[in-house]
Amino acid sequence: MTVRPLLEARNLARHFAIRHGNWPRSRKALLRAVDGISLTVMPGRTLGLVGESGCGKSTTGRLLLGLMEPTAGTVRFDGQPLARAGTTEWRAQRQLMQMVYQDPLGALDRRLPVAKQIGEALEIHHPAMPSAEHARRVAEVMEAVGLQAHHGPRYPHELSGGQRQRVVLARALILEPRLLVCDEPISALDVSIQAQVVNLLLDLQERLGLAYVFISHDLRVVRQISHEVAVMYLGRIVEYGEAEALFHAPQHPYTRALLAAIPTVARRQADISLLEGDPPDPVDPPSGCTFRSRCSRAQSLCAQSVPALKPLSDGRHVACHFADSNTAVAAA
Amino acid sequence: MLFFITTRLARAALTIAFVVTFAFVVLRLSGDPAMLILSVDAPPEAIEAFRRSWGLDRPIWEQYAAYAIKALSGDFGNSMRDGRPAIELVLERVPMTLAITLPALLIKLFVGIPAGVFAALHRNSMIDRLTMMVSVAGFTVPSFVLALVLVLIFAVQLGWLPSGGSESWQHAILPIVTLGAAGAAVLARFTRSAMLEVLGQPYIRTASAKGVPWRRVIADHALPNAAIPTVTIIGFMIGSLIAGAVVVESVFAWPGVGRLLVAAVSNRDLAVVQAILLAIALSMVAANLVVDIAYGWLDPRLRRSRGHA
Amino acid sequence: MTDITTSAPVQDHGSAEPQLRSRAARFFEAWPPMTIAALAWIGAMLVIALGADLLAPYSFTAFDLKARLQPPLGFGGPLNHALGTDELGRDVLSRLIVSIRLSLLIAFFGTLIAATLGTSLGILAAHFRGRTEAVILMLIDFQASMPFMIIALAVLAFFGNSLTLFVILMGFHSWERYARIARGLTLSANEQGYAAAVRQLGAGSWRIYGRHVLPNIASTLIVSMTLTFPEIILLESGLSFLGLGVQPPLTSLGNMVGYGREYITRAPWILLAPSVVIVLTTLSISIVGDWLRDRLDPTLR
Repeated sequence: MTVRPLLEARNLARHFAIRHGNWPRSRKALLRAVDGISLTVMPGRTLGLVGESGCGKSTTGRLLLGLMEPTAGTVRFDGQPLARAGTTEWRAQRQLMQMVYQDPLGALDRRLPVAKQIGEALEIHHPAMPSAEHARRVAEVMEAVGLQAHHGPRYPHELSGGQRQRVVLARALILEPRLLVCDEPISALDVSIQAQVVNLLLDLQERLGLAYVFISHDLRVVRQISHEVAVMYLGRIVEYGEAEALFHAPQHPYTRALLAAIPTVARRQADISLLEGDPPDPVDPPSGCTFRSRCSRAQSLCAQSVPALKPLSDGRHVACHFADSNTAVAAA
Repeated sequence: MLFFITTRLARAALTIAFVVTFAFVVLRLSGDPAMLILSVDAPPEAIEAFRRSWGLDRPIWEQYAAYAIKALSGDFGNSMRDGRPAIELVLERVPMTLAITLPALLIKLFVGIPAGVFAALHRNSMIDRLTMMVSVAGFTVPSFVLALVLVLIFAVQLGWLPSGGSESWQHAILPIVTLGAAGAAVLARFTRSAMLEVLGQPYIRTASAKGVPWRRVIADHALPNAAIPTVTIIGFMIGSLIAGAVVVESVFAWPGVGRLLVAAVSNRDLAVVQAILLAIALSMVAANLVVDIAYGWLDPRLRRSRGHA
Repeated sequence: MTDITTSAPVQDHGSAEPQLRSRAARFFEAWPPMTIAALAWIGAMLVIALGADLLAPYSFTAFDLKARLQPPLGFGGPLNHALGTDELGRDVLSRLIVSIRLSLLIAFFGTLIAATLGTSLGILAAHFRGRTEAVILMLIDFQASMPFMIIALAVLAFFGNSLTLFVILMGFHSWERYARIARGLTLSANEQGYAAAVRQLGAGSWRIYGRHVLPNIASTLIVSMTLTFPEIILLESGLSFLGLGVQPPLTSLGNMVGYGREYITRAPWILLAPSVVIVLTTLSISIVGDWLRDRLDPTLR
């Protein structure tokens, strides 16, 4: 028996028309924030989306939830295409897919008690629900995310950062969605709180069978929480595969550089093959493989043709002309 | 810089177009223009002639185009009262208005700005408090109240100055003082807060910490920077040279554009009202243009960032 | 609020306990005396406006030709006309009370219209963006580039005058201020933050703007209303003074000053009484506005 994918994106792209450069030499340009990516999320599983800031991972998250119209490509949720943002069907789909934000204080209305905000989704989607049941479900979901009853009447600024993120989670969970897109959900939190929230996410997944798209630049957390990982560079996926295999033996030079940048006890400063320089201007990326300007293994072929995302023998996909020889290097 | 000036010019043209459109739309909404501009008891032949000359039998957008062309060439028809071209009536009043608004502008600038600068430099002193109190009065006391109080004191009680009319230069004193005092108060308050903000900036403290004499710090750094926001309000004052004396001219029976406007409005002399409307719009737009260019000159950064918008 | 009772005796004997004095100091820091005086004046004006019919000793149109141009009490006037009488022997105090009611009413509805219109347009601009926004921004530019008094005079010339038209016209004063504020704050709420989060829950526009955005920007809008209200009082009284605003037999503060002008030598009280009310009212609202701004919205200057 095959399980149907919960979320399926095909050749998703989002381009922005912008003015580029300093006046008077500015000109119209096209920013390819997301440039043809395909993803699959299975029910109850977690897809990690990693990359440097500005690589298009947050835009991808918004496209996956239908919060933004794609320039090209499709997203199907549970086999159904996403409705256009703002329509009635789109609103109905909100019940099944929710967003968790990076900045919980900004995502909450500072003039409403948090219990009211947690229950708001019920008001929107089940306006006829009796108030007793409404209160019961708010209490349930607050308990599930580890909030206590006395937090309910408080205002967002009266809670700690971790508690606020729990409120945001509770608000997202009260409709019993099947998918959460978490956009850097812990990067605004104190390090001590980060682990708590990650554990809560893992716990909720186990109990509720949630699927996550987990967007982060923190590879250690992504490794801890993800089943599959997609690595993004300048709007494209450069490596995509099962999390353990990908972290154990990264194939794309970019993934390797990202992993090498994680400080660990075993690895010394000297071993780190750090990424050189900043990412190129996304409006004006290098020809061919966009990573070649920072790649230590770049050759003339890389400037000429864009490497396709090709499957390797272990089922993982890599967009590099020298993916196979990279394995050899990694093994050596 | 060229781009900057072009966008400013385009905006100025747009505002004028808006005023003309506004006048056209309001004119058409308010009833039959023939009936309004002529009078209800005008002979039918005159109404017919008027309709033809204004093209009221043609499609609405054609009428609009014709109206716009006539309006921009200053042709609003004749005044209902004395049958002379409205634009002539307005233009001959302009010097009278300027005769009081220009000296008043000088008072605003030469009293308001130094008072504001002085108050900011001596913050919380008696003079600062006094300036602030006077300046609060400047925008809570309506100009007609101030004017009447001045009349009460200087004309009625002391008998030093005439209470109204335009026969001699003495007649201009009270209108000028009324206009100047209110504007100076506003300008003083504005200058003071602009100055205080600049004085709080790190570069001022740096300059004085480096040992630059305080006078030089003020003259070279503080004043030019505080001038930037102040230019906007001065621009509005320059733009209001024609429009800003409506109430004061009426109180003092000063025969300027403002008094003409009030008379035209109460007589519903629409040709004159439209001519004044356009004259005021032109003066506002011209002043705005000058301000924008002054801005660019005072603050080169703005040439770019504002040009983008 | 209970501090009022505890702080009152402190002023009486100077050597109070330090704790009590600091309480008094703290009280006056939160409620400066000027603000209390301003609030008291506004309160008195509201009472007068609401109870005008009960408070006015005479009908404001009743004239008594035998008692024309009577000076006020204390300046040799009779006991039955506290603020004297005008050229037709009408009681100045009664006319003043009725004028206060009409002037406040016009300013109140004018402010309400300006705030509603401006806020709606600002939110519309932020919601639809694109062409709608461009048009609204253009209107804002236009409104800000002409002195409103001139626009108002032109409209009165074209349409003639009636109280309804006049109130609506006052409502067009400074709408652009609200439109600017509402647009800016709505844009930032929509870009990131609570509005985007609630929209993403599936909320419709009415809920987002009515339940979330409006309450969040309300304090800024209320502070702006304390600027608009006195401005409309001044504008209304200016136009009425010129004889182009409120028309007789109705009477407003500016109207009284305008008609009293002719008797400035013989009966200055006719115009001084309403002038004082105009000045004190606009001053009080400005003081309360400053105080509210400091309490509610430190970001607004």
